[in-house]
Amino acid sequence: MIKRNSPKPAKTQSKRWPTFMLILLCGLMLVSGIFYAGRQHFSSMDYGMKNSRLRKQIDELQAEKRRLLLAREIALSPAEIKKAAIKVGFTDSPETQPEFAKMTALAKAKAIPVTATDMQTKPMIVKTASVKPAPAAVTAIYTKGAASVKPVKRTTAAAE
Amino acid sequence: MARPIKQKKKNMRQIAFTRFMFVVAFFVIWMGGIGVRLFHLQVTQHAWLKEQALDKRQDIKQGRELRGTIFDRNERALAMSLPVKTLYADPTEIADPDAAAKIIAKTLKMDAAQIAAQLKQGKEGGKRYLAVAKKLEEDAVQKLNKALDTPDLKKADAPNFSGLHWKEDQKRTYPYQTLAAQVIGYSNIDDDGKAGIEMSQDDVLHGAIIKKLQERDRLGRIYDETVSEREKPSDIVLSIDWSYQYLVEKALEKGVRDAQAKSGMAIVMNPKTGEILAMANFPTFDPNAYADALADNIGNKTIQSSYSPGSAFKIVTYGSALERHLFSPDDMINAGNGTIEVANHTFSDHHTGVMSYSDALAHSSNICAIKTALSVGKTDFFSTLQKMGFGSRTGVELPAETSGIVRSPEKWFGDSLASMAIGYEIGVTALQMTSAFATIANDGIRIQPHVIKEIRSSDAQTTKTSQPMQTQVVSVETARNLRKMMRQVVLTGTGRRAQLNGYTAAGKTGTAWKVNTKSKSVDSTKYISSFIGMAPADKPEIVVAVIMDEPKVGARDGGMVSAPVFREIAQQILTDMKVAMDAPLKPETLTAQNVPDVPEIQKPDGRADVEKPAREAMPKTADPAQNKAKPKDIKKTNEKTFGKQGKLTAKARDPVESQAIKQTEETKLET
Repeated sequence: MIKRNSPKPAKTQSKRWPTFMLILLCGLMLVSGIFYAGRQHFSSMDYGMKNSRLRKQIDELQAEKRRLLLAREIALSPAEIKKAAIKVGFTDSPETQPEFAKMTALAKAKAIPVTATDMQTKPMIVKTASVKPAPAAVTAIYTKGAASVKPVKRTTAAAE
Repeated sequence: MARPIKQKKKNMRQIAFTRFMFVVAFFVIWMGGIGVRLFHLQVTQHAWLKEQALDKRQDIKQGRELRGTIFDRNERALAMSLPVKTLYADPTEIADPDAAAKIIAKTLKMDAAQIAAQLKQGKEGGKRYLAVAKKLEEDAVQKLNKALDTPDLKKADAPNFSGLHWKEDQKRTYPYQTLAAQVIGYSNIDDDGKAGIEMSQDDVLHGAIIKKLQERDRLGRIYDETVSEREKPSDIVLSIDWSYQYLVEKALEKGVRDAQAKSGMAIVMNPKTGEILAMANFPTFDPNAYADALADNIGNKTIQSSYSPGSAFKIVTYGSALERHLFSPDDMINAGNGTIEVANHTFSDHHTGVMSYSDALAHSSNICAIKTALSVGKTDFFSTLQKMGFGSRTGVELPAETSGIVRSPEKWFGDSLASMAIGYEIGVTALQMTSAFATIANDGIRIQPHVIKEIRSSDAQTTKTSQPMQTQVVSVETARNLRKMMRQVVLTGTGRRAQLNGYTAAGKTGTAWKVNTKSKSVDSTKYISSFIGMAPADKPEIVVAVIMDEPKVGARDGGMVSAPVFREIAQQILTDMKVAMDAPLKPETLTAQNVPDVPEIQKPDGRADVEKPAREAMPKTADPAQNKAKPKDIKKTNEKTFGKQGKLTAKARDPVESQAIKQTEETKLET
């Protein structure tokens, strides 16, 4: 005979705990997974931003290198050397120049000599390069790596 | 009693079930609604929303790689590009155009009213892009960023001012200014090469367009960046040596000024390699300010314009005869009475009597050259001329090179061979002439002249080196004999002013009347005077060509105005190259710069040995009288040059010079 309405035997306390623990573990795993994924996401964003900043710094440093190279070329150009020589006191004496054609007295008389004042008042080179201080983040990298090395004082390399 | 309780329990269950079902239905409808909405957003409106999201998050920045650098052979940068920025405005975002204009104008020293007007106009027209200040350098950018900083505004990119943005740009700079300007050329504001190497090698130097895909967060900070694949531009290393170039330019400038010439050209070439060490034009221009330059000064005349070479072309005449063993340098030739008639045309000059072929070239006898050419014949002469590279482009890596003017023998006049023998009825470029002399210097082997040494990738790896063509044009014997004859030109002939100190030199002067394009006849008042030579004479290390256009002072011939420039250039370059000296070193006072103007060799008729342009030119005119010199014109020119007294008063105290002036004057009047 089948007992239809007989009460079901209640689950024992010992059988419920593992289920609860399993549910809790799954819940914990889920939550920690979400947290982990979130952390990874924000960390990736952070690295992306750092990467972008570093890339920008590389571009800036390369531009800086180009400016310095250009400043060096300008400084070494004959016009600039001549300007510096005149500043120091050398003169562009026509006597030191060899004569080309002897019948050229008229040409010489008509030629307008470039004076030292002309060279100073009308600079032949317009400033084309500039140097700005390196960003703190860049200098920090070097000071960390070589703390004992004295930082080199950066000077303006622009051709004045 | 049990029945109603059971009934009640049943009702309670039903109610609970119904309620549960209501809750379920509510959630189903809710979720369904969300689902429908999601479907609508993600499927129906997918494209539009994606576009909106990308627009908010992504930013595509388009820029261009920096143009490649042009170096000289010593790794000195002759042209390089710098990264700069252009300030642009989105006028629709600017609330107060006047305030913005005022700040910008104050910082950059511009006209505030003009900027404000532009911004207002842009705003009214709904423009989203308006370039306010182009190609600003870093210091100006920093200044402007500081001036435009708005503390209350939160903006991801600089400047912190609503509606103003920076665009990456580049600026071409030529640190050596005018140095080798015609060789380097220039590139315009869009970084397109417009002249010189900048133009011919634009494909190599041109920076590829790059695309940067930037992902930004809600604050506008970049958190991801993808740079599209790009090929970096290459750098070009020229064969030009900046120090030689400077030296050549200075010597040429002085030569042109002293001779009061219209313009001048000079080329220095290594005959063994075909490398062009210097290529100068005067007047010149500064590529940094090409907009201010005269169009005439931008072109490289050494390859782009042709001229009648005059007597310098006699090396081709004698070369073709030597190649056919028609004479040896010490053989004698009779110039007769100084006249020769060819096809009813009488050619004449002041050299008469019997002389050696060496002397004929040294003193630039036109009659001897014509006689030699006639003995060679049309076909052989034309063949040698072509082999030497005349009538075709040299192939140098520079734009707009002309091939010169050389007509085929079928189109020649009866006297064309005679005219060509003395350098008329032919148009050559300075580089063609230099190349021909370099061929003789290199024992008859013609090496294609070139100005590019190598092309390098951005990581300094050589991708291409120039491999010039080599052709044996004339025999070694012919080349040596020609050098021997040209040595005589410098020792005793018309090129005595080209004598070097410590080195032997060989070369040939050339003086030709210019063609008047309007009257299509020769203009006896306008000369093209040249000297092309090599040193040391036996084993030449360099070939130097100096060509002056319309010198107005003194005798105006190649020996007078161009040979001293050659001497100046060759002397310094040979010393700098540490070439072993092959001649005794004289004290400075005895060097060629003090060679007296009095000719060392006097002809039997007592006439001065000063080179004169032949009384021929191309093209022919219908009226032969037009081709003849006009004594009145020459007298007028001489009066202008020497004064009515016929003497240079400033130099009257110097007996040697005054004698020379007198003789030159006589020669001119004879002409």
